[in-house]
Amino acid sequence: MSYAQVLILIISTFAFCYLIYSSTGSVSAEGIEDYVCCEETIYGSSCQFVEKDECAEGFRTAPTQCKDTSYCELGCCYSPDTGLCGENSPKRNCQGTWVDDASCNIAQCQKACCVLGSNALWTTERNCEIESGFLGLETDFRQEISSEIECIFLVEKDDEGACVLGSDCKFITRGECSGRNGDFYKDIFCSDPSFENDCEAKNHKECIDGKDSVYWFDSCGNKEDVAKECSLFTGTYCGLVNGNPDCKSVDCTVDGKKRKNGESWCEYEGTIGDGKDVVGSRHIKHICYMGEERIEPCQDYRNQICVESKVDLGTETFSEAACRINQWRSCLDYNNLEDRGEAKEKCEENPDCTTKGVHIDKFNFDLCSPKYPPGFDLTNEGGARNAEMICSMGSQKCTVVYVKRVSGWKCEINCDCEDSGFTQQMNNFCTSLGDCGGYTNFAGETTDDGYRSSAGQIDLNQYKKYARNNPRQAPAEPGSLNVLIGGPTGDSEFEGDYGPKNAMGVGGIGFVAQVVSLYLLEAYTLEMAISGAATYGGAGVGSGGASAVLGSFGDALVGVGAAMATASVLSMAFGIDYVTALIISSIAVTSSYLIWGWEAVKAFGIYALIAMVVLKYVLGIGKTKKKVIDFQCLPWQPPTGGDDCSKCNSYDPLGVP
Amino acid sequence: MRRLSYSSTQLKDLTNIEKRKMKNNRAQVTIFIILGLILVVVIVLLFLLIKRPDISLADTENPQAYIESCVNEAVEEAVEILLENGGDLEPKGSIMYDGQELTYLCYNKNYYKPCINQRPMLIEHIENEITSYIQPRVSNCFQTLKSELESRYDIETGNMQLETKLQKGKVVVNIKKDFKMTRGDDVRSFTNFKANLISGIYGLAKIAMEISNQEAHYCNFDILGFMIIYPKYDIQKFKTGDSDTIYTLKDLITNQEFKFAIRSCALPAGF
Repeated sequence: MSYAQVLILIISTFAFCYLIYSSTGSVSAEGIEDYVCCEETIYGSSCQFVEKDECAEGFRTAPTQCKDTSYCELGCCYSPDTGLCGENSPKRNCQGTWVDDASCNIAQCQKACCVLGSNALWTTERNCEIESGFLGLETDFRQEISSEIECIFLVEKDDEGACVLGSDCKFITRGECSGRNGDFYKDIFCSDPSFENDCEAKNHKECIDGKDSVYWFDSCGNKEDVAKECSLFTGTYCGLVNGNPDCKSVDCTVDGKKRKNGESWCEYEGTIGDGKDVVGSRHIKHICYMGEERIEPCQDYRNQICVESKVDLGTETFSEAACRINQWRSCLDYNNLEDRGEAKEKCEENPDCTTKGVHIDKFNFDLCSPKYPPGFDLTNEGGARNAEMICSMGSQKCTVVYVKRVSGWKCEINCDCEDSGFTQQMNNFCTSLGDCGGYTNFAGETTDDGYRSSAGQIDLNQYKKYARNNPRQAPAEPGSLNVLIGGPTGDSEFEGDYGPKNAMGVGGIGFVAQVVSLYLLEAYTLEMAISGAATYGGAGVGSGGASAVLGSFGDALVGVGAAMATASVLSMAFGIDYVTALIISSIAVTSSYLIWGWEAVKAFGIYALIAMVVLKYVLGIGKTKKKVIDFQCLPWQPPTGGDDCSKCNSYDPLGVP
Repeated sequence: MRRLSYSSTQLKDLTNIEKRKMKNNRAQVTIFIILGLILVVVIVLLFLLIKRPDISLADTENPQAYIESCVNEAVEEAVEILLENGGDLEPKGSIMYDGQELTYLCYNKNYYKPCINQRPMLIEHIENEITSYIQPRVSNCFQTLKSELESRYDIETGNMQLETKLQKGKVVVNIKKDFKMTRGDDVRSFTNFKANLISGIYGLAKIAMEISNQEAHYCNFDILGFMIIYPKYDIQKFKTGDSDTIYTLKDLITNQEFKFAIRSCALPAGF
């Protein structure tokens, strides 16, 4: 290969890279230089890192993150008056004692068990003093109790008994009686005959605040012993049943199914998973609490999903649900990894990701895509741009190649791309990226404005079934414990750069450049160039495959790369100048004729080559023509008109706003 | 012997007389009925129209009771506003939800970031808000009291110092103001006035602070676990489409509700 050829190839590579870079735009922090730390914003919020014109006049600003300023540095705000602590507090908001520890890991903020007579409280020592003072009790702060549950339910409370105050009697704790200077008789009721008062025993029943069971009360209103045992743990609690205090069931019956108090489960507005979540749907957590069913919708746009797990209690199961972050961003991010094996592995490990692909003839690719596709906010410009960007990953071009035979033009490669099957597969892939494509909303209304295909339309009624509530729908997978509590995702640092690597940017460009150089180094056969192995997360090289990362740009690039590789081979084999070879190979780059031609050259030498030239230039045999089948994946479009506006809440019996 | 028979004319006359008598009787009855009805109406009107004596608990002869009543009324109004607005009389840094301005107790405008505590000393903040609300009203109370008593007493007053404290189950207002009433040898002096209002706002504010801390730390607060441990409170949580979380806390004993907003670890729609 001559130096000129090498130089041309290198310059061409950089030229194409520059073309891609300039068309995608620069990846920058988008005006972050206009952001400052406002001591107070025009909306009244303190210490926000926002655009300069949102800062209120007369307050301090600094062109840096708030944590780097003196007035908005975050720490712990401790109040000696109440004994309470405020985490993540800016200095300027703290009129008490401010300490440089945003998590309040200081002695004054350590909580333990505070016994207040017959009750207990999990709080700080100083707050325990304050609360004890409210009740006129001595401070009883027990640091040896290690958990809140142990404190509330198990700690030994103060003794209770009759407290005689002159002619009066009250059934209270020893501490309270001491505070009133009464005579205390442990475990004795005021109705005891020895006290010679008018209090009659077991006069009526009542419920007591904070106690599960039904209690007897004497005629003077003093508590006596338990009339009936109830327990939250067994599903009963003291309440009015037919107007009388009794053990009331706190379990729920929902859709004919019994749920225990404290049980939670997931319900969904349609089918979920495998990229099928319908537009406008939301995951909803249901809770059974004190006999009532409550709802806690997860975050909108499917940024949170509802996950569920069951605990086996022997004869029955207890369901626990949680709203946790949907890691769909990670799924798309994996496609930028250079190591395709690693990308595939990560995708399989992530419970929120799935591999989706299109496989038609030579047109093959697989991508890591979200199992629970995200929703988009199309009400503002930024949201609409975002939606277009994500959906455009599903825009692809399939090149169908026809070759002129003796009998006429014949489709040789990617013929199936001309069928509606291509549209079907592409639309399925498109809808799995988010609210994209031709699909249905949760009201069962379909629209087809979200895709354009030159291979014909498909019947969208097939998707309506996904909008229906499926009682046998399996809940979303919980994943690792770290993600189950709804905290930072297991995959990446939540507070750090969780934002996207530009899905259309540098990562994709680098990959394609690598592919091109691979051909240059190996000068491989056209079979490789045309077929293009089904790759994971990267370019399916050749006529049909496309870099999913680069979207519609990918196909053109890899075609060029293959042509350049071919030109080098021809130039080297026949000694013709590189430019001529490039012209020949560019015309026939996807032609199966050229494969045959190359084999023929090897077998029959120059005579075969002359025969080929005659056939090609005189009869036109072996000429090729390409037809590009274009699929455009666009944001889903809502139906026109407002007839269905009222349907927003009609599917939820509890009226989710 | 008397003739007992009558002629037809006489009979006719007799009948007419009887008829007239009967008519007269009916007329009398009618008149009595009408008179009775009028009497009843008059009595009813008397009851309705005569103004009842104004029984006021605010007895100006008892300044302590008068001020206490006046203060309680003002505190009750203040507490109601604060509970509805998330702890601010006039919400600053707030969100409009369901027609109500709700204060953000913990807020971060940026995505993916935990919230910044806007009210780390919420209890003290509420106390200050109540004080600022009731101060002018309490001053008016004293002014009114003075006006009412001036006709009978010589009144001397001093400057007022007012302090509000939230305690478990109540709001306590302590007022220091010299108030002296003199009538001849009868001198009554007051320096301290105190008012107690039954309210669950202290407990609700404590829980709100705990929620803010957990949202700032974990970007989440589990309401179910909390309610099981503290069944005296009911908590509802709703996430809006803009990643704001609206909390509604309810004290099941007093039935008071405290609503506020949190914006922590917000996620955008899309990237």
